[in-house]
Amino acid sequence: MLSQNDIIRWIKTSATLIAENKDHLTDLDRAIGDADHGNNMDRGFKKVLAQLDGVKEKDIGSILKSVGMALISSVGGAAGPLYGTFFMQAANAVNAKQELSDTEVADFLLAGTHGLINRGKTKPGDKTIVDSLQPAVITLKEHIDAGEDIIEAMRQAVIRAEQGVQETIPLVARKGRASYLGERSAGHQDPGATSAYLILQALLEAIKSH
Amino acid sequence: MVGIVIVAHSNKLAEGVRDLAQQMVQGKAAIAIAAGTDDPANPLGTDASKIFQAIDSVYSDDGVVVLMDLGSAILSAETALDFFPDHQKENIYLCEAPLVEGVLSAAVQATGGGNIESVTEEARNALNAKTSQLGIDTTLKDAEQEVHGPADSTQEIVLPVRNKLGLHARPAAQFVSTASKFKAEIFVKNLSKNTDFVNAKSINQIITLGVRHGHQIMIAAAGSDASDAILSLNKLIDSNFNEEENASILTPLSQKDKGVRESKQNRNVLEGIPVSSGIAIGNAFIYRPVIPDVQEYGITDIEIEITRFRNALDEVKKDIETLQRETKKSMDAYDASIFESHLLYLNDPALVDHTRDIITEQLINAEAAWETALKEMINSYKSIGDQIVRDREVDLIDIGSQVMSKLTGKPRTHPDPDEPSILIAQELNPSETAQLNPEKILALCAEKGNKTSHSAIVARSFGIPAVFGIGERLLEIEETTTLIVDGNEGIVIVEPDNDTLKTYRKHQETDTAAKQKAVTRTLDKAVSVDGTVVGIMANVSYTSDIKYALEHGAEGVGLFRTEFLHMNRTTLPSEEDQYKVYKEAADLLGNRPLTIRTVDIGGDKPVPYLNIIKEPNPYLGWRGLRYCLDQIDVFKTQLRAILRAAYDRNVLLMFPMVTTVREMRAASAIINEVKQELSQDGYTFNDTIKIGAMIETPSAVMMAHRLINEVDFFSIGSNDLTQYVLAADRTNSKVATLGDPFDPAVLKMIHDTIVVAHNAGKRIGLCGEMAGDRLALPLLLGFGLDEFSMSPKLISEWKEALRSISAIKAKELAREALQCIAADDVKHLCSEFLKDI
Repeated sequence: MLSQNDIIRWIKTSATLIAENKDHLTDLDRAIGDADHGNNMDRGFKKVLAQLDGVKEKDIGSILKSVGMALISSVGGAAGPLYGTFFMQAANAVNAKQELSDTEVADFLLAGTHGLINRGKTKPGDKTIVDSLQPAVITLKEHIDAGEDIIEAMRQAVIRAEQGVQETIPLVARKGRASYLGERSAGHQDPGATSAYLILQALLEAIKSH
Repeated sequence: MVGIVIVAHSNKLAEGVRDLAQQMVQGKAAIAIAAGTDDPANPLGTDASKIFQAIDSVYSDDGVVVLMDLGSAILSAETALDFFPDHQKENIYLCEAPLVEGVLSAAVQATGGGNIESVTEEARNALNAKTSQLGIDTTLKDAEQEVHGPADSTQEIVLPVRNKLGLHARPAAQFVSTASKFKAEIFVKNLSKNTDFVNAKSINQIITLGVRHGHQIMIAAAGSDASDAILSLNKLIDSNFNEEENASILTPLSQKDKGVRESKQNRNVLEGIPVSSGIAIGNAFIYRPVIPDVQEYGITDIEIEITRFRNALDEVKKDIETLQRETKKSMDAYDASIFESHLLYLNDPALVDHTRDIITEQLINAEAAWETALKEMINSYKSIGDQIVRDREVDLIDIGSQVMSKLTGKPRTHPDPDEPSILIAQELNPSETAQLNPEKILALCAEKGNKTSHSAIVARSFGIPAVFGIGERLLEIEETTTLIVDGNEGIVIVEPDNDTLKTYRKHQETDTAAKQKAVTRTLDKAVSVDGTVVGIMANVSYTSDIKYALEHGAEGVGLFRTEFLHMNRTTLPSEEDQYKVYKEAADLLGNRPLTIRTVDIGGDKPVPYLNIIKEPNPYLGWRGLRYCLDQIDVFKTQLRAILRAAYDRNVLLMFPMVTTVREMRAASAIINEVKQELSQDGYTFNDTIKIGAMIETPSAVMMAHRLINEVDFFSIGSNDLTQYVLAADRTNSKVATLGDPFDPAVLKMIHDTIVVAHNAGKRIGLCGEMAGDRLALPLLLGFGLDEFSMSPKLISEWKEALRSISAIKAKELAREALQCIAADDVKHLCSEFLKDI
């Protein structure tokens, strides 16, 4: 069970983790992209925080929608429309709810992931956000469907996300700026997969401190 | 004027491009910019909300073309599009052209008054100037990119295509079938249209090449059997695909005289089977399925979804193969080979593998994935702008909607015509006919089908003229062609001249006048000229039909179908829901009888939640009373509702498709159980409800003398009885003439059953098609039938006909008819009889 307060905490923790890892993300992006992922994500989540006060009393759908809109209009890079769509689609799945059951948590993350995949027309193995996000969300869903506690399920999901991040290292990028490098993109960890892992990590922490 | 939006990471870049373009058109273009971020420290980036505002600022219904630099610009532009309502979204084009050249060309075209299509097209072609200036040979580059494998093993050949159709329809299918026999990777391009290489094993990709008569194509193959592959394809093309004179499929009707009867007035007349009388004049509307919008949802089990998809493909393949076998018997092999191309669509990697990829990668349901794959393919057809290619769209949609229907378990969707029109269809199946909007249909014409097919029955009940079994020529008629449909004679006149039109308009008027007269007397009793009174009942499917039936002179309902209550839904209608419907129907009738038939569903109309699946032999399968006796819950729910509604109301109960006496006894036993349960539950119900058996099987006729002791009345279902007596499937047009209710074998069965009922002092009615057929009227009257139950539309004219017939003379006719040996002889007798009046 996740309350509207837990969601707020998740978003705040995400912003913190992104800020702490800003330089790390930018370094990763420097190797294979345009060296802006850390700055972009940090700017996006700062904007999210600025707008969060205005919606924190509202339902979960409204909160997520506000997060999505803030990211869409402030990130600047491809991560903006991608994560923006993720939160907007997730918002559509929960609508005006004030709290979410464990199953609903998995379902709204799944809905967001579908949105993101459709927006990016990308698939696992392309060396993108999807490489950590998608297997993690599926892991979460499987564990929850199997009747496991949400904290344990989320822990497994984060472990899977971390593994997904590692798996991006040997991949050749097929989407985004890194794909311009072709074979030279292999051997580097994907910054998008890394930021997705951080956001899932933030969710785990928010749930644990419930 | 078409608006232009520049989306770029850098504001400087966008401004530069804009200035360059405005200089060309003296600042007259409507160009807006969405570029860069608001963060001065990191000015490079894109912003979907900015793009939204930019599009909005230049938006008009003329449209907006959006040109983007790269990466997030594209994603942000797509995201921005989502903020627009659908009617605006369709006017906004995201164009893949290179930014600088694209904006320039678009600006020139837009200020010159070009529409959105031409502006987009112009932008797309913008790169050509640069390409040719630099002398880049794109053909060479494509070949290197597309044909894999070591260059020395790649074999190429350039060939002219000389057959009439080009690489379309059957030739395309033959080409792909031949290519698919080889292991080699094979690619083809159309040199005459300077296309890219495409996969020779994909029917869809071959069609997108738009190869016409006279074009040059290049085939490149790599792999161990590459040279054999090239040799075979070369041979096929050299043989002109064995096309010869058979390539008539695309020749317009007006240029063709084969099979079209030229009469004295020089009109094109198509002949078919008259299945519903009346005359209609109007424009042709081609009745084609469309790909429905389906619900997209996320899935977790990829395997299940892919299996569902594969099963749907397999089912459609089986259907096509069956049709192919049936067709081969009656057509030459060339015609039946059109099915080969349909089968190729179902094996095409560009559709099938792509759908599977979408399911796996996006984790969405098979329906949504299939819809996406189909729509992408249809769009790529559309973008080619070649009429013949666009005609192939019809095939693709045909196949696509069949698969979709298997996936969703729902009938295929068809659009209604905007104006009342004459519907041209290949074949109308029951579920599709049920969706027709009678107000938009002047007449029905079908390539296949016959008098007893379900859709013919529907046409008659709507009072719409219909001609079926017209054959392939019907499908050559083009949309909006003027047609006359004569449902009395069974002919369709294509593009009639003025004289013909005049003649038929007169016919129409006389028809209408006669109908008017009958309507004014419809509420009078149904009585013969010599005073014999019979009961006239209505067959209805919905309570909403009852008012209409009463206004048209029905004395009650002789058949209340309950199938529609059970179809097109996913759960059993509750006892309470059913009770309300039955009660409402009975109340509408006052004290007139309401004869409710328990649910009569079988494998011809599969209903998943009722466990009714498709059967190879649905008419001899699990249906009617047999089904109900096995599905006690469904049966009891309905019986409870009927018995409760019958309390203090004139409701009768009858069972469809009774085969044995034991079945009837089992049904009665269940009724008794239900009565006990109802009284235990404290409900009021009709304890003495009258029960009837429908006589539809030969066994019921032979055992009628025993069955009659189990029931209060009989009702003959002449449609099914005919098909069972003559062993002629009523959905199969090839045996249509055999399945004739006027056949003496059927008449004897009807006659004998009437005698049995009367000897037992019980009433007997007939609720099949025959009851409303005026030709059968004197016969059935002569047999002594008590009750005629028919479509309400037919009642007034039927009563009018009865008023001029003598029951005594009809008895003589009936006696004579029983001596005949063929249906035609009986019909001849009847029409002579009616002529004399």
